[in-house]
Amino acid sequence: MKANGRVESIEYPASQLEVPLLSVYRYLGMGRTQPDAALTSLAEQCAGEFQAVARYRACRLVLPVAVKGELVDFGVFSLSSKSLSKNLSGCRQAILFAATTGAEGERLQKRTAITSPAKAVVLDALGTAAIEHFCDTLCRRWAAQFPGQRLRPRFSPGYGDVPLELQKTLLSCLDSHRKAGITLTQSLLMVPQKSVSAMVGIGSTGCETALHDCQLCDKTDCQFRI
Amino acid sequence: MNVLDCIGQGIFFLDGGTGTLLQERGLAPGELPELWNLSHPGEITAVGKAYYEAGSHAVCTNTFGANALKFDGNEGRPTVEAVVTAAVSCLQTARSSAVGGQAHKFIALDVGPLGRLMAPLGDLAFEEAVELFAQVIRAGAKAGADLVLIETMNDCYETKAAVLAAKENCDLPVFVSNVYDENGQLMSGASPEAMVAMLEGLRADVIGLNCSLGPRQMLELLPRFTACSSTPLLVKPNAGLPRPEQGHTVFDVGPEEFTQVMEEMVGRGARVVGGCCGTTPEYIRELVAAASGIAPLPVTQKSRSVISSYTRAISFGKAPVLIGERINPTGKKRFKEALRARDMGYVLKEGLDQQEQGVHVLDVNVGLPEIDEPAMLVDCVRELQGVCDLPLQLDTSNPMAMERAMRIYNGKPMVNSVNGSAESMDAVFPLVKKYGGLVVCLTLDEGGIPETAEDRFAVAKRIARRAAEYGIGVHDLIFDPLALTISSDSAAAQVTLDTIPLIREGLGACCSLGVSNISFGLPHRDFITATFFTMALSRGLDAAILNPYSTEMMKAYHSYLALAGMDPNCSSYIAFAQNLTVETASSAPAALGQRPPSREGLQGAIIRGLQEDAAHLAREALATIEPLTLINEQIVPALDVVGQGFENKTVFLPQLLMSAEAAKAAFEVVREAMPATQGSGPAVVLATVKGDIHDIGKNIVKALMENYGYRVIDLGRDVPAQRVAQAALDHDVRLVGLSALMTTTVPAMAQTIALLRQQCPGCKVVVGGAVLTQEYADQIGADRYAKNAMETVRYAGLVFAR
Repeated sequence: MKANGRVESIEYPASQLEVPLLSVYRYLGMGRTQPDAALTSLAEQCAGEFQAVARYRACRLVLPVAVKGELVDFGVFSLSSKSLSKNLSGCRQAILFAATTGAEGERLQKRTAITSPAKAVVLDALGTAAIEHFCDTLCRRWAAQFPGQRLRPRFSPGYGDVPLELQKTLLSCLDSHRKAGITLTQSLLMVPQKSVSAMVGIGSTGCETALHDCQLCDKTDCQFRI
Repeated sequence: MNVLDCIGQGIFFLDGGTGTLLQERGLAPGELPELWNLSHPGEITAVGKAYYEAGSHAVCTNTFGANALKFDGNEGRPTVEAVVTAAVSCLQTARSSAVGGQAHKFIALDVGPLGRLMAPLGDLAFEEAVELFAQVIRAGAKAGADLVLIETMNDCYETKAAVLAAKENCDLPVFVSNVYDENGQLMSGASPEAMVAMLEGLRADVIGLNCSLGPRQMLELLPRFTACSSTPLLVKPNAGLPRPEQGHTVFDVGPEEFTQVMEEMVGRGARVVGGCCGTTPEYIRELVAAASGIAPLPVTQKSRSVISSYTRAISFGKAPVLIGERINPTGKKRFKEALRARDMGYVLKEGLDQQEQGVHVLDVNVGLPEIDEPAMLVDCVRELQGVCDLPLQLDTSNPMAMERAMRIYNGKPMVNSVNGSAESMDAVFPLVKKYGGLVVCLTLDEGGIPETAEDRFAVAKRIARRAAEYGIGVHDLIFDPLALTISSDSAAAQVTLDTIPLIREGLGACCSLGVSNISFGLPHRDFITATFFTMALSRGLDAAILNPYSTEMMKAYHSYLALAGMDPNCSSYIAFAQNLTVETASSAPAALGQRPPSREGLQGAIIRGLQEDAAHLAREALATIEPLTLINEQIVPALDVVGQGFENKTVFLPQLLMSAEAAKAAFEVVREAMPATQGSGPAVVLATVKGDIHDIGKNIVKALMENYGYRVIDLGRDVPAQRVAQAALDHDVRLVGLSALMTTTVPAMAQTIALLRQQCPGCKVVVGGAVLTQEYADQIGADRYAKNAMETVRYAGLVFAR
């Protein structure tokens, strides 16, 4: 017996995703500093190895959403949150999704940690850049399915006043274990680690970009800020 | 008639999907279907009855998600036992009230995945998983289920836990079905061949695949199963692929097309058939009508000698299999040191390096008189299979170590070894029968090693007979005709070589050899060993345990493959030979040396992150400089330059670590030259706290601390507070470093600190990790918050300077 037949399962070939190396350097804490030739070649080598084993998978549920004051109701679950209700205000539909780069990329990173810590940190940053890029790609593609509408910035459990605890509900709603191989540990970490789960509003008004932009963030002392 | 007899007689029909049927009957989205066993037994019974009447031999209980993670008996939730018992009871009613259908109707206890990922990637411990499954199985068997159907498993390791739980807690037949993608892989990466190897080893009664794919896609995968499986095959596809339509999910394959493809599937060897998501009693009715009359293909014995890892199977008997012998402390000072210090990184690196050299299997031997071998072997196997996808050969003479390692091994292992003595066979064969394995059988017995080939063959035959009594086929035995040194007996090699064809032809079994012994006591041993290896291969040797770093051995292997016609276009030989030329011809450093050299010599090599140069220059320097002087005046100052650069943001993390790796390479060289007493600086304990499985930050700190001469006791990830305190006590450390990445695991860090305060009051605690701040660190009572690895090193300097 498996519920949630409506969840869509997505697999994306790694060959169609090119991990942006600039983001990799940013996640390595380099800000806008140009990498030297040694690091560039290491990053390129890591990208090749990572992409060879990565399995980009996602699962998605498109649901009506009702926002009343601070109450956000997706039908399958609801919660009260100031920040999420603000993010979704004016939206009547939302996408819930979870995406991952797969377990093999993680094993590669762990394997590498034994033989070369330097390469392992580059692979770690690469995994982060890869999953972010994958989410960006998915959101762009999904945005095209809702003509005249725009996607709000991705909102994940743990953002603002939404507790990380929501991961349980969100991932079980998405049946993410079966649909994309994403599970939660008891301390609410996603495994594989390079995974993202989020709620994305679909609205016609007042929308910001669904993609990443440091200028939208008020954490000015972030070491990854550019 | 019992289930297996019924399968023996013809096509066996299972049920179809239930999700959509229950939704039609009012199950709300998000509602746990298993609760309906108790709240809506009539509906559950009606669905079961519909399947029995449609012609299903077995219908699955509504227990897919019934486990104690969801049903724990707390806060109004029912217990697993209550849910499972009610589910079986619904089907008992359905069975007795069904009109028509099969003469024999069975109840399949449905066991689905737990929804959490197994360690080491996830946090579900193997034995915890076994126990969770055991609860379901005990309840189901007690309530009256006729068989266990473990289904929709997408992880090889979790599947093993479920099968063991079933085998240990009931006598019912066990059916196992996994979810494959179009490429024929589980989510966790396993191939059908690997799954069949492991599941036949565990003595599953029916093996197969369900869910995710439609019938046509499964039809394409079927030949991979029929080629290797000697067990009846189960196929339970979805009704094609789902697509959303007006808020509902519809599947694109109707009953007619479904039946048509399933008929073909039966014609090609599927024996146990049904449907998964999107299929209904109508699908099953049509399938039964069409396929009942088809004479099933016989299930044939494939007799493959095969082992597996969590992703792949390796079979013996065709191309020779190389087994790397280097994970073994015998005669290796550094390896012994690593084992005593529980330096897993060293052991793992030995495994990965051998994989790089091209071995197919890793022998794992960690026996040392002064260590707890069962615990160590289990740890090594667990860690190795977490990062390395080569199958393992478990090498121990300690039966308890063997059993514990076989139990937690993720696949079907190679077992090293049994011999012809009653004691050995009585210890090893029951384990192989229970857990599965390909056993290395040494052709010796109580009387010692026979001197002639005929006598060794006689021992082999005796071993095979005894194995058969345990139900272990000869294909699960691989015989070692024993290489003894020719330096003491010039006929030794001939006896060994003559035994190989006797066993291969006389028993139809494979042979493996530890080849190195042959040259013991002779100069340039590799020359003799490699030639002996070639001779053994030409007599039919199937596998060898060898040192893959020996160029002579690898030359022999690649040349043999090319000469024996096993290397099309000589391509693997050419690749090997070309690499060999490059390696020997060029000692140019890797292309990482682009940073301008601010210093020359060893310091420059470390600053620029050139590992090979650093090792080489350290070796040169040792000719004239004392080891400690070299460390203090060359290595540490170079690291300081890089460390300062990192703090000033002119050097970044990867570069810092490249330098760390270069320094480590230099250290390894210096260490060999140092008396053991001088080698180690003060000890520190590092751990990622309980509940947290992120360890990259901790690993960076470890790399740097080691560089600065600290003896790092790395406890790994997800470490309980008590283990941290115990390690701090055992090693009498003055500094403990703790890492946590998530807010959810900071409480575990606080508990660990509290326990340390209590049990090791003199010990300082430095903390770090993504969510930590000075404020947090103060709150939980840490001595110091370190923003990055360099800060930790600096703080350690302060602690130990006092």
